[in-house]
Amino acid sequence: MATALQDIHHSPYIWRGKEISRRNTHFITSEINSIDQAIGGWPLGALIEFTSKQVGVGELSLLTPALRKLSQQDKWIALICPPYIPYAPALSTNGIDIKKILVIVTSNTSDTAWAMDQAIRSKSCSAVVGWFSFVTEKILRRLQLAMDTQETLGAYFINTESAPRNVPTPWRITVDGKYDQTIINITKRRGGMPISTLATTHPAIQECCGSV
Amino acid sequence: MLWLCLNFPKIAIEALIPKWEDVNPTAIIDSGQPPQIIAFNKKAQKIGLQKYMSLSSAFAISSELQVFPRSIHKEIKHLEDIATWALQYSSHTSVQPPDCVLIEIGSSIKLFGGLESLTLKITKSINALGHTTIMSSATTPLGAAWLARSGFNVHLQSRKELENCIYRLPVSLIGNAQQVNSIRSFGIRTIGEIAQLPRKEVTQRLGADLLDKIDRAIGVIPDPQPPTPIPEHFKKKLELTVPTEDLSSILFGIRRMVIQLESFLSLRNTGTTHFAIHLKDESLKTHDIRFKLSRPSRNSKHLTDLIRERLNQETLPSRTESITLECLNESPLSAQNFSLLPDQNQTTEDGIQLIEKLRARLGYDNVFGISSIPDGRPEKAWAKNIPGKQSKENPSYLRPTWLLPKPKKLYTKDNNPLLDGPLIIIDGPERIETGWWDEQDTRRDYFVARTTDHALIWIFRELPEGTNWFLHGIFS
Repeated sequence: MATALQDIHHSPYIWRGKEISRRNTHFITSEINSIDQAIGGWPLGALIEFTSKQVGVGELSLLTPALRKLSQQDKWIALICPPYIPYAPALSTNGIDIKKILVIVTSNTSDTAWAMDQAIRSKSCSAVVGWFSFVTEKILRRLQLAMDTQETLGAYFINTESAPRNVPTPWRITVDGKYDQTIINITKRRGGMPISTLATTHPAIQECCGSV
Repeated sequence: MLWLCLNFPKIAIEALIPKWEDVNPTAIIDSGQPPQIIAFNKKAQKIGLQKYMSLSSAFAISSELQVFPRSIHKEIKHLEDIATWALQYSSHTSVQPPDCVLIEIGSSIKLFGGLESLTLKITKSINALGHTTIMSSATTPLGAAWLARSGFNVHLQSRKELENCIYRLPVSLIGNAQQVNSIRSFGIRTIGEIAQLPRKEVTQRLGADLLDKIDRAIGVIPDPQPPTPIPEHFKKKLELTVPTEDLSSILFGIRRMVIQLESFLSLRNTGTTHFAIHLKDESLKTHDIRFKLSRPSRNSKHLTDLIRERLNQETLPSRTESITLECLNESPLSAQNFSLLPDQNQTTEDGIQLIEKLRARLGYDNVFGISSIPDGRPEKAWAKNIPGKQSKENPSYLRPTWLLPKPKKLYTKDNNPLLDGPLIIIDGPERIETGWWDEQDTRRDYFVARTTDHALIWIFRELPEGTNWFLHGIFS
């Protein structure tokens, strides 16, 4: 009986949860209490996917405090193919040093993927954030491969409906809005079980009605 | 003085085709009657071509053989290019026709960490330029050249050793065919044997230059070499033997020229910010591609990367015949201060190279920084900027992370704005009334609103009527 169990242990088909959690991922504080408590902040050196059904539920704001921190480094924060104009007054109000921001406009998915890959590999970016309207597993695999060797914050945003069902991205996060709240579901993460329904107040609400 | 001689045994073919180029069997013929094969590439060697074979027997082996006449002019041009390129290793280099380049390394050998590391460095770069080379060094230029031409890879630092070696070399090195034949007819095979003959007799029978050459080779009399001048301008043209539309072979050729550009710029202690590539096609139409860098550079890897990205985007002429690389401006490289933190300079350098690489593929205007401008009108409160440039502080108000490039008009129902359903106003109004001085008078009431699917947006009502509603931003 004992031999049979050992055989199973040596089988390459057995997934060992412990091994994965042993990889030491570095985190940067998200400065959002619910997230910091649940997962310890945003991982560096691992690709994070943010999906949401619509723009405007506070999805980018989840990264803002981390970006503020990263903008103190002498490196770029690359925003690749953003859907609208990244509005400088808002970003600087949030404390981000906007002279570190590098906006990269692309016209198709392969250019976006290429630009993200270049930015990740160049070692000159503290954060690389991309927006996809469409993406393939192959592209994401390549990006994750690039991320593996870096200590960069790497994330991409995509509409829930366009996101592929299976992706090699180690962190998947869906973002929804519910009145004043931004609801976060971590559907996939490295070294742990999914976590559902973390909530934070939409930062715009915090700001306009902050004292309430 | 210590002279390093680079001998290029295959210069006749390499002047036409760099050694990595994988073309069909190719051979070079001399101008004799009947013509003889004097050089050939690897593929021709494989099918059995041999040196001094007649052209007709070569064609008997393969009918696919490509044959080009020897161009001594091109060979010398190539040697001159190499001599210029080699100025990075020494202040004194010289061409020794027909197939050698001399580098005076005595004064720079220490700088490059000894003879071995220097020769290793040179071999590596010569390979990258597409040449095969044999290197020898000796205390006299002619001595080094003779050693290299006889295929020796030796480094002699004393005159005694040199003399011994030179005396054992064959007489074929020393003069023209006629002279060599008459020397041989005396039963003399080596240079040493000539040196032992009575000087007067040798001079009488074979001419004065023979002994003179031996004296120069062993260092009895001085042998000054004309130094290679540092060029004023960089423009190099590469004629392709076979017209091509294949990007990778064009890039190969360009790489070779970029290495030369790098050494040209480093000799002049400058970098370039503007350079151009001209591709000429069969109909002699020129296709110009200009490059603009945000900071002077001479790093050949970086420049080649930029060129590759750019050429990938361009439509190239269908059959390119020649490539020209021209350096359009030079500017001093900004001095680098060594930072206390080792990585800092590298990061800045990487950051600039990233921007240039992205711009090469995506277009100059598609990579930019942003700045905020103290202007009340939201659309004028930001601008595209040079990446990394500091901007002025803006007073902090509640502003959306996304701004629409142009306000989008909203439908209304009973004077209330709609966006996929009714909107709920949760903050506002913030009145913005400004811009009367430049005829872009703006009077608006801004609100934060929530859509039916819980997104927060920034909308405004145009005053004074207050009936037209617009979407202007999104709180992402």
